Amino acid sequence: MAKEFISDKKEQEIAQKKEYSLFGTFLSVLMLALFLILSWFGVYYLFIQRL
Amino acid sequence: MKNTALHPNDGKLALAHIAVGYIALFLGAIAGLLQAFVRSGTLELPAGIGYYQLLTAHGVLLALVFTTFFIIGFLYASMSRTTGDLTPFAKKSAWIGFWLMTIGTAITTVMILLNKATVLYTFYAPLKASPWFYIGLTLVVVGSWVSGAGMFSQYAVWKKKNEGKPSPLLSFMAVATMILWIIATLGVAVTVLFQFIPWSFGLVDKINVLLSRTLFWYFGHPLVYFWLLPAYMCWYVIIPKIIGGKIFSDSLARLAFVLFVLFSIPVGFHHQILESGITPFWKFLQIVLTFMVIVPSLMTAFALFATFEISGREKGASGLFGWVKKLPWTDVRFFAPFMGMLVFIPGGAGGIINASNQMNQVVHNTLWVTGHFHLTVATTVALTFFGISYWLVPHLTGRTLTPRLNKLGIIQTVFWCIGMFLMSGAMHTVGLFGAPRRTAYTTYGDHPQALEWMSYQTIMAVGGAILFVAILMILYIVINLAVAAPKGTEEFPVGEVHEDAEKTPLLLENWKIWIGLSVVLIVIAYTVPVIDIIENAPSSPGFKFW
Amino acid sequence: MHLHKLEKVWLLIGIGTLVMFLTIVGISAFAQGHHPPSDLTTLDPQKVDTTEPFNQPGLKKIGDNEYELVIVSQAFAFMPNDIKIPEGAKVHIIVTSKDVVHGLEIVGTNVNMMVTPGHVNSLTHTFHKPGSYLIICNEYCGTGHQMMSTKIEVTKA
Repeated sequence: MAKEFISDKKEQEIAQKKEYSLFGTFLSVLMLALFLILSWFGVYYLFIQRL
Repeated sequence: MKNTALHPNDGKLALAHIAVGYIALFLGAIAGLLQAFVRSGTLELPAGIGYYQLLTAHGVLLALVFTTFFIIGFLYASMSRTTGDLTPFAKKSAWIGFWLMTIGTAITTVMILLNKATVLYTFYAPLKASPWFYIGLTLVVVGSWVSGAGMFSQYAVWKKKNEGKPSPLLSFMAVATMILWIIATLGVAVTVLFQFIPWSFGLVDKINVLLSRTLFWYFGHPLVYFWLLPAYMCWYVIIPKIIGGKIFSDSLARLAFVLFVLFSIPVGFHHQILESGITPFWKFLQIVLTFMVIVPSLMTAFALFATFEISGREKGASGLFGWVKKLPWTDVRFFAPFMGMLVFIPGGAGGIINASNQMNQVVHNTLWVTGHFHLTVATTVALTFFGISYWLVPHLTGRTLTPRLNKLGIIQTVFWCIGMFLMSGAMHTVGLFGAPRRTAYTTYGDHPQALEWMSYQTIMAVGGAILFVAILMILYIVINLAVAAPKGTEEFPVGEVHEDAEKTPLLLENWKIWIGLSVVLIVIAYTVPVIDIIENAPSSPGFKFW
Repeated sequence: MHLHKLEKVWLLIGIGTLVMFLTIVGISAFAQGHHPPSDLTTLDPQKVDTTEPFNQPGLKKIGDNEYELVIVSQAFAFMPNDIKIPEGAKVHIIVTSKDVVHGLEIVGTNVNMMVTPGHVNSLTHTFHKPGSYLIICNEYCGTGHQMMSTKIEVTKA
């Protein structure tokens, strides 16, 4: 297991610099948030209607 | 990391747990099928069997027995796989735990079948079941504690041998799950041992109803995270290996589990939002804490999509969503848990709505709630557990997942999703119209409001029937994988951390801090209201209305 | 701990959304009085019939189109049985249980509360639209649970 952890400091520095493009991921989670918000306000609207 | 089979003794242990789990799944599913037909008005039960008796059996066997047995089997297999063969102490604890839980399950099931415990799986006082029902449940919980002790010792032994190193991720997660479980079950143990058992034996006449409900829900919410965390283990660690990728971040995965240990417990009041005797302030405080426990799930969503995207890009995917095509859609070990993840989006959305203070008045105790947890536990968790079974069972029995069984598994997953879309979708909708959960077939004297619900209840039955076919399929597959599939070696996939990931901070493994913080949060959230309940809430005699 | 830039943005958006939800329900509850039912009144569950106001369940006019509706729930019925009120009436519902835990739900409204023995629970609702409203028990209370219901007739003013 130990091999999987980066022990070499240099390697780690390189790792910090290299970031993947995660825009697909970002858009996916944004769609998730949109779903949460829409369904939440849907039920909130029902609550207000029924007051 | 070695990928030979687990030590045969460890394998036998895990298999025994999984076997009891699947037997419970079968029995619970039969009860579920019958309920769906009764509720739609298409079936009247033959004399002697009650709707609520079936409902009790369905809840206990699926929510408590199937989950707990499968989880402990999977956790032990994970420990053995990542920390090496189980120590004699761990093995002994696991077997003692297994037999205590099995005997407890048997006692409880017999009491339900004898119609001496038709109190549903939440057993709300002052409905009073036979004391043996509560004793059976106690044995299940105590058994799980003994199993937990075995896992902790296995973990401690590994830590001692590997000082200064972070523990294998799967074992860390298994330990976190069991810590969560033990802190949570203390609440239900207190109410069962000090309230229900003496009261049901007639040693005391009355029971503090609100206290028993509060202790139950102190346990009841972390219970759902006890179901969910093993599914997260699969998503974080197993799935990356199956899709040929790497774990996005070891540290963030651990951080998510730590946050679950901290925030999934002091939140039980969000199941008691509409209850007397608890002030709006304390309810709202626990609701804020409830919203904190959503954060690790937001982190998980990002980590999983990122795992998919990075692995897709490393395989040459381009464009914003090109990576989606690189996922192994025809591999059921991926497909079933993936559908579970997808379903967790509406599942989680419903959960946030349920916990939103006064908005709970729209949905509380309606079929919406039943629809909600059939997405979360009965789809997200169940499909992930099936996804684990496809490789874990053959791995343990020295057989292989054949292409035919793999294909059948894909069909099973599709059936499950269609059945659940119909059943849970209808439940959510009709719940918003006000149709109550946990209620046998009725038109309330042909009241127009209740008559509007009928077509939805028919859809629920159609969905339930499709789900039952899917249950028969998964049982066929699992039995095949256990006794009939061709001999061979099936991989126990364990993902590796991405080369670019940072080193794991050892602080995350400092359980003293996390358990201490968890206790502090529990004390803050519960002390004042519980003292108030003990001092002010009246006690009530018991009733048997079935 | 290192976070990817987009993950930071995501967590900000996600947590921001949660804070927004909490703020909306928090203001609605604490500033506008839409608390969930949380009555702190208690009574002896075995003496419901002799405890005010439950010794006389029913509808009482207390103001201009304003009523107090006292309900006793027991397996498997609500008392009083059929209730008539005029359109636009503001009704303060007060309920307790003589035996096990029940739930009181008026279908299609926000009236939804747990009825725990030994405790009183209460909610206020204004019936804007005329019609027949179904009141049901929505917490399992025994084999006759599905029969436990009554009605409110809201008549045209």
